[in-house]
Amino acid sequence: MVTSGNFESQMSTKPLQMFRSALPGCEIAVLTDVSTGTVLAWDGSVKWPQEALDALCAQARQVLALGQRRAPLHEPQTAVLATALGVQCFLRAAPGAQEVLCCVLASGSDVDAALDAGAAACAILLDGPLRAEGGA
Amino acid sequence: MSHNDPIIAFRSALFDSAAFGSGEVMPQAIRTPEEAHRFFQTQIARTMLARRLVFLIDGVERLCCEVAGRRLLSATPCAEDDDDKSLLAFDALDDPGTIQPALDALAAEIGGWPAQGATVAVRIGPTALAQAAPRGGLSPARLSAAFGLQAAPAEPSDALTAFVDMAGTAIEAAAYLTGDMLYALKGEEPQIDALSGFLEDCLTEIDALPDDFFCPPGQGGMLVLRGSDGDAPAVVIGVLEELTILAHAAPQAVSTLVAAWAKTALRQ
Repeated sequence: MVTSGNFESQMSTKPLQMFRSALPGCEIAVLTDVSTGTVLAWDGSVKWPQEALDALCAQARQVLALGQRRAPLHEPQTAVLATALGVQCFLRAAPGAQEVLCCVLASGSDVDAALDAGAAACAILLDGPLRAEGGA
Repeated sequence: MSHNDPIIAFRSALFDSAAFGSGEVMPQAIRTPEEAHRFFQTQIARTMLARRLVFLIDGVERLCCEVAGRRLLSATPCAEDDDDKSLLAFDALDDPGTIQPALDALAAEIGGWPAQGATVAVRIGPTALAQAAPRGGLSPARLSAAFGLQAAPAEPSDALTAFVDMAGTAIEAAAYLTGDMLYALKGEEPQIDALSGFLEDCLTEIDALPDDFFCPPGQGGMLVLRGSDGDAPAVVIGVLEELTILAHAAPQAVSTLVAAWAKTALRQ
């Protein structure tokens, strides 16, 4: 069962659904705007409480602010956080973008594959439905 | 989410979530007691506000828990016969004679879930409990220990050395910081100098991360950061107890790093 959410349109979550369903062990995928701390859309096999989505959004802002203007990062584009509870991935939708794709993976998931798939999903999200429908 | 209009249904769900914290975690497959224990621990660690979590096995209510501030405050098995209900209340944490039997019973209850069904789900609802004792209850780390999910702790410096060894060529240079001292683990002097400079610049930012950034607190965590230059090394920041490891790594080897961290630092 899949649950999704988006303020503007249910159609906007399709790239998120496709991204998540193609990744074994991906519990939830969230598109967030880190400049405003806003959850733009999400898709998950689980339904997180709103405060958990907000916490993930805050975490995205914190990790992508680390090491700015310093070699070799200059401006972090992706961050992967591994803890005892699993792996969280954060990807800027484009260099310098404030839209960040977050996903939560089970331990043992293929993180490199998730990052590659996330980059492709970001391209669709920014150029496709969200822009066309005025969601982001 | 039963309303026909998806937008109205979603707004309704958002309202419910904001007002009551209601929701549900959809069924997840469980095959082993360890999977059940990890699932349970994850739900506790993820629950920040005061909530009642009801765990369902194949749709049947099995365990009702009061949770707040990522801490388990009570757990009550959902017996078919109300007279059989036994409350596991964690209000006597300092009494080993009371808490240990309760922990053992909880571990046995959850470890028995795979024998009772194939999936576990959680229904999340409001609770009036917990606001009075936000620092009471059991932390996820304590649950890990009770469930046997934490192996015997290794010396943090040994664990970090093992991490670098296991990551192999994925890590180009590494050093760890304890107190004010930086110890090189791998790499040539210019690489260690670069790591030292980065750490000096970023230590304030790392120290400013919230206490529960690596959740559950106390078990450490690892962060891998990549910049926009696909050929530039990734930066690895790992925290294990009082040690902080900093490394430069191959940018396309994140899976290797995560797997090595899980095996050495987390001992999973």
